[in-house]
Amino acid sequence: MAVGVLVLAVIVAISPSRGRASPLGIYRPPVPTETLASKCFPLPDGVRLDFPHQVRSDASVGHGRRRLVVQYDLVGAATVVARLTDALTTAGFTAVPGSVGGGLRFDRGDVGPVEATVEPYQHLPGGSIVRGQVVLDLPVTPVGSASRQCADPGVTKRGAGG
Amino acid sequence: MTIVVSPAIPTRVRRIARADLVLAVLLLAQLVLRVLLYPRVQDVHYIGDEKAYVDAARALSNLVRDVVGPTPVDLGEVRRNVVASGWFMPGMSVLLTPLLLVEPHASIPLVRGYLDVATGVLFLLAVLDVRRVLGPWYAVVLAVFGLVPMWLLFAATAYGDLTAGLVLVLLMTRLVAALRRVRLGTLAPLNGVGLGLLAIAVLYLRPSAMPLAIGLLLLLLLCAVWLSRGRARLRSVAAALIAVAVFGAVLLPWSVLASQTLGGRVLTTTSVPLGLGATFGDRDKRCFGPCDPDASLWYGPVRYGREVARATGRSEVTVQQQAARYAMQDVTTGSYARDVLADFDRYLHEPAHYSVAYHPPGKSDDSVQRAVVTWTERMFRLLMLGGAAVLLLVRRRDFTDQALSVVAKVALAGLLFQPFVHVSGARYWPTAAPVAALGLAMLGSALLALRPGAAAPARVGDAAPVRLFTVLQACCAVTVVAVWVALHVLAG
Repeated sequence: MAVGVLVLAVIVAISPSRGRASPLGIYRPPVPTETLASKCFPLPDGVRLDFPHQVRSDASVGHGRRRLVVQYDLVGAATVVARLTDALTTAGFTAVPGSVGGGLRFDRGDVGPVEATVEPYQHLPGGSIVRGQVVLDLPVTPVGSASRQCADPGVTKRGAGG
Repeated sequence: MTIVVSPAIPTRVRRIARADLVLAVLLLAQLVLRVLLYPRVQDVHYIGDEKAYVDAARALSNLVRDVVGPTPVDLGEVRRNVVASGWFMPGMSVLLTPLLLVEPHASIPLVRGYLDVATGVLFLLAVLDVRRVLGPWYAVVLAVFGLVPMWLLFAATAYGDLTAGLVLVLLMTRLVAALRRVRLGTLAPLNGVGLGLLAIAVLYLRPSAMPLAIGLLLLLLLCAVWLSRGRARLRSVAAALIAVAVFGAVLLPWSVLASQTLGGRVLTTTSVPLGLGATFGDRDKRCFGPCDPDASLWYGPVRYGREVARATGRSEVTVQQQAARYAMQDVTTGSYARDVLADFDRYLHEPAHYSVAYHPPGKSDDSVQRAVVTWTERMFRLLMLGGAAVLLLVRRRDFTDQALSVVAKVALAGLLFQPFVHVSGARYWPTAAPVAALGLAMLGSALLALRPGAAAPARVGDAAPVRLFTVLQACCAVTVVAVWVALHVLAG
């Protein structure tokens, strides 16, 4: 026992002179750049989502349309509807009554129609941070940046289901 | 060398001498087999969780350098590599740290060789303690199990499962010895310190050992209250509480560091909610919907948790817990039972599954590989028999038999709790295997006691059996059978 402690003490004492180990840190998934902040596939000019959120999927769905699924956190569906309406109208969109799918419908001349459906999740655990999702139906957006991260599905959420 | 056993020597002594000879031969055989199998492992890159353990060891060695040397402590490096996602407690990393203190850029063969030697020494210590506390034939049976080829291949890996199993054997033998002391009224505070340290060592090596660690410490406390009287009871209870306190005190630094780093309460590991979600939940709801398809089963929810934490300022651990609960909203008793049985199947099926990874380049399907699979599977069947014996035998012969039976039941039942909460695989059995090997020895001892002319069971004195242990064993056996039947009935 005493010999073991002595050996360990010697090892510790000489360790600084033996150089430094290089941990790779590869077993911790990095946090990818926030999808919309990456500007790879941005929202229409001037639109900023003013509630806590994370993009879950982004896909071109044909006929020149894009389907963007964004989860909202900490706030209720009514707040999301209000802030989304405010964000779009501030960016120059006009609310259009009578949507096809029961969502909010907006229009702006240079963009075309945009529809947003707010879907609160059911059977959430008590105190849930994530509350629901917004499905945005937008015109297809061309890639807005030449950054290499725009090819990373972890950043763009493109190629994701849901 | 010729060993001559004089006829004048009593039969019992001769039996022990014979057992020790067999034990020595088995240990030598294990050494030879270890050396022969090592080339199959030495150059294999770290697989899966091994990467995390080795990385954490690198960071821990740097931490020691910073503490004793002139460089400032880089706590960020420790948080990134030791805590990381909070999945792994750093027991294996602590074991590897001395090597990395001397050789910070240790090669894979060096790391694997070091681990092979370390687990070999640990096995020797475990066998010697089994011999001392339970007798030489128990040690012989444990040493036979030490020849399982897949177990020997795992011995050179950085997974904590096998190492935890060996430290668990030490915990079990020390606990059996402690229970004897409880009965004699001589349990000392130092015994409590030792048991607490062994229990927390098992936990640091495998966080999934939490149920068994708590179970064994509670057993000690129960026996301290139940089996001793007067002043001796106070001493025994104090020693048991010291064991609990030591366990908690050594756990605390990890819990605090992991909780601070991840911004949420972490006691041992964050992998339980992930495991529950992955095993029993709807995989399309594990991130309140599907997780990113480019991320793995385990990385997906962690990355998601970090993204939500960034957006909200809340803890990624809390997000993961809530997402797992959401994914499990449609779990029924039937689906749960089916998943648990599937988990047991993965736990017990293909014990040599990992052997495909351990081979020199181009020799993935040679005769050695086939022998590893064949002999591992054959010996594993015996271990399953031993496991069943551990869980079902009710021993009433003498106090030590009973104490071992109760301790082994709590240990194995605690380990087998894992398939109820986490995806199982062919990597987890090495933790339970030494316990199952002792179960085989228990079974052999019980069968030998049935022979005509076997020594009469102890009825009086400190060796006599106690009713408490008989009841505990019976309760455990009945519970195991009831749970197993219930799982099959519910699974339909």
